[in-house]
Amino acid sequence: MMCLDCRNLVPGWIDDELGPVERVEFAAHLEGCRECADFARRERDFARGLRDRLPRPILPALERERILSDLRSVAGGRGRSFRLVRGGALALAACIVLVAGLAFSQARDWTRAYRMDHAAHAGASDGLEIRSASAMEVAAWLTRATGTPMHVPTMPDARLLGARTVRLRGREVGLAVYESGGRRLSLFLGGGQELFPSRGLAPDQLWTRRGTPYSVVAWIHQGHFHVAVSDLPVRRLQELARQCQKPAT
Amino acid sequence: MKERFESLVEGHLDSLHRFALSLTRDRDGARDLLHDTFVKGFEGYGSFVAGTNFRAWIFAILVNTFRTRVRDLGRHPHVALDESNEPTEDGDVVFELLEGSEILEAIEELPEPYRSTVLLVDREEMRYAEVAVVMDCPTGTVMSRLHRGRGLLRRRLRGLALERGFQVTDRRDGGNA
Repeated sequence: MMCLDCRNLVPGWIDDELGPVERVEFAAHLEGCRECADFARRERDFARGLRDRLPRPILPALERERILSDLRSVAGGRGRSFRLVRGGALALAACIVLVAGLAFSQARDWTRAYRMDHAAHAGASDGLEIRSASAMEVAAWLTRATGTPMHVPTMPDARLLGARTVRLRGREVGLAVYESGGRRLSLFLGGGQELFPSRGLAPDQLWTRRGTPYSVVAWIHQGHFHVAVSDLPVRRLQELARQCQKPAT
Repeated sequence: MKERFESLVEGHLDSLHRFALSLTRDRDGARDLLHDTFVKGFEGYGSFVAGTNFRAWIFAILVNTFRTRVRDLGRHPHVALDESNEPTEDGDVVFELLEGSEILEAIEELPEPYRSTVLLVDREEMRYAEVAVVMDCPTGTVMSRLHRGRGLLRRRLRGLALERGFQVTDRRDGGNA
């Protein structure tokens, strides 16, 4: 073994990663080469010192909770969706993908994250972090939770159940949940351009994506982004969206 | 499946977060990177073979996600330095002179892929085979990157110690720090 070959193997020797043959050849070379032996020893001391002194900070409790919450929301939402697919709705999912592909000029279906989150919670009353029918109370809670001023609209034909926060594509947004005619409506609040491609959309103009089972209606009202998801008929969903745009009385 | 995935990820959360923070260099960026890693990980979890190395698997997703982001943003993090890798004689001494945070900062300044390789092996204590999966390269490349990365780091730490006014002398000559 040449000195250059030996020195290239030094990290493997330090980290106990050499194969049996390499290890024997390496040791034999060190026996007869003082320079390489010194080199290897210094490298080993450096690596040991590095490992001993290198800080390994652990997550602060609050940050850990936030990240775990992200993890649970991801796994929870997707898990329910996958069970749905396994339950025999594969054709339905394929249809959604096909419709999405045709409906959008954008490469990505931006409504997917909204629909999946809605699907994960539509059939249950759990998941709400605040339960209240008061739009003001819910708005105050969402504002505190997201750090962004939130306006929670009222709709004469829908009953506010409560709210929670949700992380979509790395952004924290508010989610107000309503019930209308026995069906749930998720209204996502506070997203930005990256969550809602609004190019060419006039203020208060409704953007509609008809889907099965969930349709999406989106709009910008007074500079705020709104995305509504529900299995209500599209016309009904649009009516409710119009009610949201009316000034509060 | 959901619970199993969550449990496996949670077992590596500190390590994943540390590495994400090293890649993005800011807390919000690290959280976003982790979020996208969780999404991709959960989507692909069906292809994960039980009994194989989950840590290497999820770290590989994290690194690929980060690479995609960097590519999308048009950044080029792979800047190798043309520095000699000849070791100085005082590697172990500098650790007595510098704080852990200073050592970490010096690692953060290493060019990729040396930075990631040093962090994965020396901080996260991964085996070369794991790093090879994460970085998508042969194990021999891991060893050579580590060799070079440690060499570059040694020079930086020595320079840092000298800047602070420390006398770093050659141990072969019998000098003391």
